Amino acid sequence: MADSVNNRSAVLIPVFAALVLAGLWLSILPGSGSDAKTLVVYCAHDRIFAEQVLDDFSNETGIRVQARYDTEATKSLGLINLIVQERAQPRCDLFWNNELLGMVELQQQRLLEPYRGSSWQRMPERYRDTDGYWVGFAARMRVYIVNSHQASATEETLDTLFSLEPSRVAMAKPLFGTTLTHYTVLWHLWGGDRLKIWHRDLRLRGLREVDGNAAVKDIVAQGTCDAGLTDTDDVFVALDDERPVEMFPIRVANDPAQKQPSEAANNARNYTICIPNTVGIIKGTKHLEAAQRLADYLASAKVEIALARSKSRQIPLGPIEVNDLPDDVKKLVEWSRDGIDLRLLLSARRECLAWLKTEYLK
Amino acid sequence: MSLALACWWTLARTILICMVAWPLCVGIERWIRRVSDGWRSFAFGLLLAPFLFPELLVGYAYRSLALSSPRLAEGLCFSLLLFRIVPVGVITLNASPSALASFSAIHCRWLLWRASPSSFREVWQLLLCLWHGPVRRAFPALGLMSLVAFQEFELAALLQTASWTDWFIAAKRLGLDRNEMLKQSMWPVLMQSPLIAGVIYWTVREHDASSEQNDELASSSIFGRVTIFYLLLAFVCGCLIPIGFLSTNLLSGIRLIASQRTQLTGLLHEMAIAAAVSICAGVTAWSLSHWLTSIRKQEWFRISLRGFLLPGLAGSLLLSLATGAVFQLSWLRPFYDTPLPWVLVLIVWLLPRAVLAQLWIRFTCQTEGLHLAELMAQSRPLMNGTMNEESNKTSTSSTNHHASSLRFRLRDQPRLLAIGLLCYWGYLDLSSAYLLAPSGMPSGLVRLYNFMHFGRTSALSAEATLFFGFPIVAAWFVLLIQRTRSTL
Repeated sequence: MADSVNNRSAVLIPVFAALVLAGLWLSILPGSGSDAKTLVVYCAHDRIFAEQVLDDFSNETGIRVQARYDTEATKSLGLINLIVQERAQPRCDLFWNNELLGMVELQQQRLLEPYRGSSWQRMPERYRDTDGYWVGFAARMRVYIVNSHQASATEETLDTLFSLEPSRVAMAKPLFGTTLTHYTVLWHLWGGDRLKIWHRDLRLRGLREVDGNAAVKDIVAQGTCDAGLTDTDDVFVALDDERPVEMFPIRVANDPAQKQPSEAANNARNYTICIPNTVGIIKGTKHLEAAQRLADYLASAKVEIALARSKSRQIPLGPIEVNDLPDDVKKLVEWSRDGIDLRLLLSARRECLAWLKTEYLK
Repeated sequence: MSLALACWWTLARTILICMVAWPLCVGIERWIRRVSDGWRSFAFGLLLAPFLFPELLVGYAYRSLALSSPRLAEGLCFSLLLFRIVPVGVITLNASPSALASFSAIHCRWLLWRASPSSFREVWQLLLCLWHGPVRRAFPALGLMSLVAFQEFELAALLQTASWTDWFIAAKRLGLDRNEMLKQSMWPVLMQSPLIAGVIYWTVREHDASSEQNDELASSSIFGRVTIFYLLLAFVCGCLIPIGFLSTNLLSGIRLIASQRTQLTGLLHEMAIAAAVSICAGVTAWSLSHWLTSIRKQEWFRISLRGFLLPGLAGSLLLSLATGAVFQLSWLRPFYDTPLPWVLVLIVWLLPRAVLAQLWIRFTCQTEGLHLAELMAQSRPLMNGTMNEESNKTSTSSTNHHASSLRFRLRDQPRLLAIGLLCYWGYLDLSSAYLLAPSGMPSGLVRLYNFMHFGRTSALSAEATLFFGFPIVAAWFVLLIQRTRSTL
């Protein structure tokens, strides 16, 4: 008797659990019942900041947003590949990318829907696609982070470290994120051969490679390395925690005579690397109108100011009243004016990524 | 690093860890068998704590230290993994069938072989003796320990040490072709297959109920002290230090997330999802394991059924990658963005653990005690002249009460704990949640893994406490209810 009860419950309990789970899933399924206006957003921007922005949008418009985030270390590329994999049956309505070239890649693969809305109108030419497939907003910059207790934040110090002690310099693996964009810029300006030599030489001489820009910030802030290459938002996390760090922008030049990227600082033709967030609507979305509203919202002046005032201090790219910006960001706006135009670098990115895959995965 | 190199590196680390862990396992298991019942429960608790403690928190606690130098990171990974696999070894060893050949028998065989070294028969007999002796006893424990160490994912990722798991995550993010990915997965599968085959072989054997151990050592106070020192060290490094790390910013973190309604509701929502999925997978895996271990049919039928355990032993990362690829095939694609692949992977991954739990409960279950409790529950007091009807009723009620309380302690409580443990493992599995959770149903674990890259320790402390504290509170609550019901 007891055994038959056990056998019965061995079947009934999992069935009951499966039914509860199915019910839960159906209740939050986009487009089910009253949730016909739910937007699925893939978001590569830091969740800490993006969640509040999307929540504010939902509160203002009544459009529910289901966001899918990825991890800090591998985020943008992972989501881009997911969108490509799902092209036959897209579940994403809108992609909020934290860099630009991935969005250009999706555009080239015809996975985006053009939209020239109010946000597109307000952005400068270099931060939007001519046909409206995507629009950029709120950028960050590639910078050198230096531990101020151990080294001075100057170009000369970085030159010395790169040439004599690269083991005191940290960098994220360039397979993903903004470090990939950085390498793409180098590939474009220096050419593949020179970048390969530079990269292999640094690795051979002990450059510290870690899994993300936040780890670069940590390793420099705790003094394990004297300097590193990271993004402005990561440096601000360390500065807010009162860690002994300073930063200055990475500048790159296409002068082949220069051996190190930092040597380019004195050259008038130097470029900084300013990497905007981008937003694009996925082709085949069933919620086009809602996606357009969110695209307009994200690249609006309001969100740009909110992100500039957030802990990540993103740089507004559209016309903004300067007085609305914190002092930290005003300095970044100055640096961003020398930013290289990233829109034309897709082929460089593809070639660079193909090479990096062979370097790290084969 | 190439996949082949990463695999060999992980394998070398696994072998080294197992070599260090094995004497510890043997010693601890013997020591635990010798101590009194009260101490034994305490020792088991102390032993299991580092294994059950969320490895995401352990990795995060030591992440900053590991960043100091790659060698230190490797050392930390080695030590923390050691603390995690020793409990696996001790528990398996404790539940393993006893050796059929004693050391004296092996020695006799050895002497016989020495007398005629050219005799093939003597060599064969010696090998058989070794197989039925130490190998039979050691293989299950060593096999499971190696599998746990080889499949490590979160710890290696957070400490940034080389591991094949990290290679697959990078390859997946880079959009490596599905066929190429499956082809490459042969490396870790082949490396694990002898262990998996051995573990399966062991689980399909019938276990003798009386697992009388014949390898007792004379007790030694130094040996006992070393064991206690190890248990305390593992508990401090594997649990207390991460808890201390978490508590440092806990109050400010709680204040912070309390003020951020969006984050708090997001986390609670994701906790509910993780709990629902893990409960569904946990109870299903338990039910399946109950069925698998209860089959009383032909040997070949039982063996083939237990082949279902094979995929689960390959680890949740490989399983998730393969399932993700399979559900993108055209005829399964409609189910791709549903919880089905996620739950399925968790069930398959939990199944071997559920079988192990079933075997462990059967092995440790006091069947005589349970039978007496059953008899007690069915018994009726004798009517005689000295007792009236009222006192008979009181006596029956008291007997039933004792019987059900005894039954709960002997039968239901271990089962509840085992199911709870399975759900807890499902709740903490990052690979499947990370790779297979559908849109709108993310697990809170992925959120925490994400935050761990930012160094936002105060918010993380609070969120991690909520996330990891929830199953403990839930388990305590369920046990409390069950205990109350059984005593009413």
